[in-house]
Amino acid sequence: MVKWTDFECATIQDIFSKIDYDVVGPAALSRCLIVYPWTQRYFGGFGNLYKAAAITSNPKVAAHGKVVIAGLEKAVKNMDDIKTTYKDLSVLHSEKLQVDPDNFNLLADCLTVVVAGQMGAAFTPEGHAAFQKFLAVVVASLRKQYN
Amino acid sequence: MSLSGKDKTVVKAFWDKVSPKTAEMGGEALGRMLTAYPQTKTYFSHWSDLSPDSAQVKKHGATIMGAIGDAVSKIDDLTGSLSKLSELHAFKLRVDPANFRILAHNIILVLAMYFPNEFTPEVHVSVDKFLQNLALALSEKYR
Repeated sequence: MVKWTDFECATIQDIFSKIDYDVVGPAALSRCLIVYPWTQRYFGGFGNLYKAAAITSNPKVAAHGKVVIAGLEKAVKNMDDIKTTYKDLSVLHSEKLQVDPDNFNLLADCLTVVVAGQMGAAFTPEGHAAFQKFLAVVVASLRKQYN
Repeated sequence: MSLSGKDKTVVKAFWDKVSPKTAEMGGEALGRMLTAYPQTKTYFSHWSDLSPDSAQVKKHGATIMGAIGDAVSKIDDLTGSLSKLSELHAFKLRVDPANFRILAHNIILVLAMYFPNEFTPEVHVSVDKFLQNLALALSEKYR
């Protein structure tokens, strides 16, 4: 059972209320595909991913970025039991999409970088720590159904 | 994942741009690492204050960034130029090299915070590769 302090709960809600989902989702996913190009293996049907500019302007990447962040919002709304909330998503990623779970950390890192870029100094070290813990729980929950 | 000519050019140009702020960013990155990844605090148990505002943290962060800036200028021979620092980390400090990746992430995050427009995905990948190569050079003497 993950224990959240009041500060951590409030901080996560606050960060997600401040970021623009339509910008952050696509930016995080495209940054991941550019910085860690081997992650492109999961997006064979997305068309042109050959150059950074193509990835950033790819409408399928943008649309999927929004799907990913909508999925994260589910965790934000159910912080007390992310593990159960993500059970189906975990099965999806392990059995259907067959994503190497180490990649979840890569995307999580890119998301953190994008959020920091958006929020600037408002992304305080303490807020950053809470965000880091939240993403660690999300990643662990997504890994849960792999075997 | 070795550095291409393009990576080196990108890293040097970007570091030139950000050099006025590197000392401050170094302190910020180290402070964040100690806060967001508390297991890293074990290497600094001899300091009295490990908060992001601590003078010790800020000073040491600046030292680290200074060494990184120096490595940028010697980007063609990271292993050679980091040889002494590698000995220090391997034999005296004995920092688990996994932590180099954690600090690199925090440095990247702070670069994105301070320079959101300049730290594009293209710059990010070159800087990430550079820091990874730097970490490798720093681990050279471990075993």
